[in-house]
Amino acid sequence: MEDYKYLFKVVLVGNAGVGKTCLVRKFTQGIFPPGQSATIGVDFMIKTVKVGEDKIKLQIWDTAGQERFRSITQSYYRSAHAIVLVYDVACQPSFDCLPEWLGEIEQYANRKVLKILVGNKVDKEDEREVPERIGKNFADANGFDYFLETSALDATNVDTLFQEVATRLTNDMKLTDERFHNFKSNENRDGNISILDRVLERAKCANCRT
Amino acid sequence: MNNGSVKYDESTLEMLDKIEFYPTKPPFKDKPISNARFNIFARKVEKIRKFLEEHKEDLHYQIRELRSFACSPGGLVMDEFRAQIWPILAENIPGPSDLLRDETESSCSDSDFESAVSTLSNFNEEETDSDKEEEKIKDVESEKVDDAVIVELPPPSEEDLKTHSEWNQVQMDVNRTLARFPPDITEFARKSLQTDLIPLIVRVLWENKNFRYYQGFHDICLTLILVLGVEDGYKVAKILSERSAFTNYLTGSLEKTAMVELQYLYVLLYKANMGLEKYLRGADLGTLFALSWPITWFSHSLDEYSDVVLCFDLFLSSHFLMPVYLGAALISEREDEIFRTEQEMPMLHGLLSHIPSTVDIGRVIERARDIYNDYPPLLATDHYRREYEKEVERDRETSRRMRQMRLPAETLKRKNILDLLKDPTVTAGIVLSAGVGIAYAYFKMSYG
Repeated sequence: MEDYKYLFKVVLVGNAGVGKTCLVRKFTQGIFPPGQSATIGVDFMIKTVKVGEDKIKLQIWDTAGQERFRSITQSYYRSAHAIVLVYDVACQPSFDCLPEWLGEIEQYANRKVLKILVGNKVDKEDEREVPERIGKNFADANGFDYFLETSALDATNVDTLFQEVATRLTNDMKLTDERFHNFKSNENRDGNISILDRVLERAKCANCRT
Repeated sequence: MNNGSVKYDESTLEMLDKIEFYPTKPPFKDKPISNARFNIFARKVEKIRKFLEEHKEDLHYQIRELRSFACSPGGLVMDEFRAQIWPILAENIPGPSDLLRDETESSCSDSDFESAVSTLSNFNEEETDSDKEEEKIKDVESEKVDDAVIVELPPPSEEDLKTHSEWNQVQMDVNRTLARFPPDITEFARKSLQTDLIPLIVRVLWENKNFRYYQGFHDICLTLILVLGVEDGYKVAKILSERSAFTNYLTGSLEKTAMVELQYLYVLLYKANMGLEKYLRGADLGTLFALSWPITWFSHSLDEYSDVVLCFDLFLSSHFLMPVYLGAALISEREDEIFRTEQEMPMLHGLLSHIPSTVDIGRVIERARDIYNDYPPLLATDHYRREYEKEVERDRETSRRMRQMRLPAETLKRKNILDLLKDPTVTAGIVLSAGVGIAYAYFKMSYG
């Protein structure tokens, strides 16, 4: 098995045609496929990135945007560490659907999931319908952890997006790890291993190796 | 058989020129298999051509023969034949809800349509019953129409179609189908086909207000328009939307239609390739990786146009579960790759949802037909399904017990031991090993 410190599951959601697959392919394979066909169901890709000295494996699930597939793809939200909600800055309706997507995320994802809002296709500056400020405000008002605008076509912010996801998740995980170690060294003074210890250990494993 | 010097009709040779079997023409030096294959196809082209000539007038009554051409190696071989034969196959397609009149005729799928389907719909949900009723009514109506004067409503204009709620979605999906076109098509021809394809699809949706477009239905219609052109393409798309598995996908939820059908992947693999099924089940793979297979007839995941049309030849002449059989055959075919992949859902999902162009689809179809003949739908959807469910249950129970046994000693309190003793297999195990021990001791004492 390949050597890595953490493995995180990232799920991309958002309306059909906003460029989810292109973002993933640009990031994982470095290509922008012209005429990328619609995603049916869920696609899966993997890429390892570095955060400091640590190797981090990102498992990226690229879901179909069409409403007809939603009930099928929801099951992938639950174990996600991060959810990237994508809209198209040149397509107002894809932005108007964001509250609906947020509802889905709140209903099906883990409460602590890292939420990221992405406005894609900034290369279409002439056709822009959603100003950056509006996107940013929406992200702030709705509890997103991070917002940025990208272009899978000219690679703007694509690496930044996934690097940021990896960094934030890694930092969170390290914090949890530290707390756990402190806790454990305190506990170990009297030589007992409590049930709580074991539960924590298990939770940690489940978190990093789902 | 495998020399390249067999003589064929002029017209056959002319037709063969249009097929891209190989970059070079036969005879292939030192390539007996290529030669043999070329000869098989050449003979088939000749045979189909003659058949079509002989039955110009009564081709509609030759469904058995046509199906047998479509299902045997090489399928219908050329798009020229497909353009003539697909509409007839489609009119006679053994769909999930009108199977009664087809049971005696199909050559590909010789048995059991009706019962298989009724079992599946039980397994499925109530929805299908009402579908069936509607379907029957529709059938009766269409028969009536055949006899009476046909009063056709004028087809909706393009302006009408543009008001359809799915127009934008269809347009978006069609505009990104570049990769689906055969490589030799000009950009002009492609764009013109794309322009025609949007209203074609929306017109199919327009016909029935219960139809809900799904991404992937456009892949089906694209293949039809490529082979049949706009007019026949529409006719066949309409037939398929009204009385085939696509009716269910367009009217019901994909979860309760396609995803339910896909469960039979594992039933079939369990019968046809037990070790592989176990490996996939161990990874908790599920069936989502294969969703596009039934709902696009593999056209979404196959790279080669020639492979796509070959699949359509098969599916237009077969039981509606044939895509699941083909799926099982395809998974079996990739057995080595699967076993080399980590036994984890994401890895296996990633591996299997893409079909490499190196896979020989002709061979996979052969394999699918073998699985079909060995484990036909009647049994797969009933007897084998129950057998499989029992096996899964048994396995689950065993691993539950194993987990219990493997608990660290420190946590094995008295209660757990008592619990374990209540378990008949554990008790039996203890009694048995004690018995063997005593017998051994007795043996030692008597003879040692």
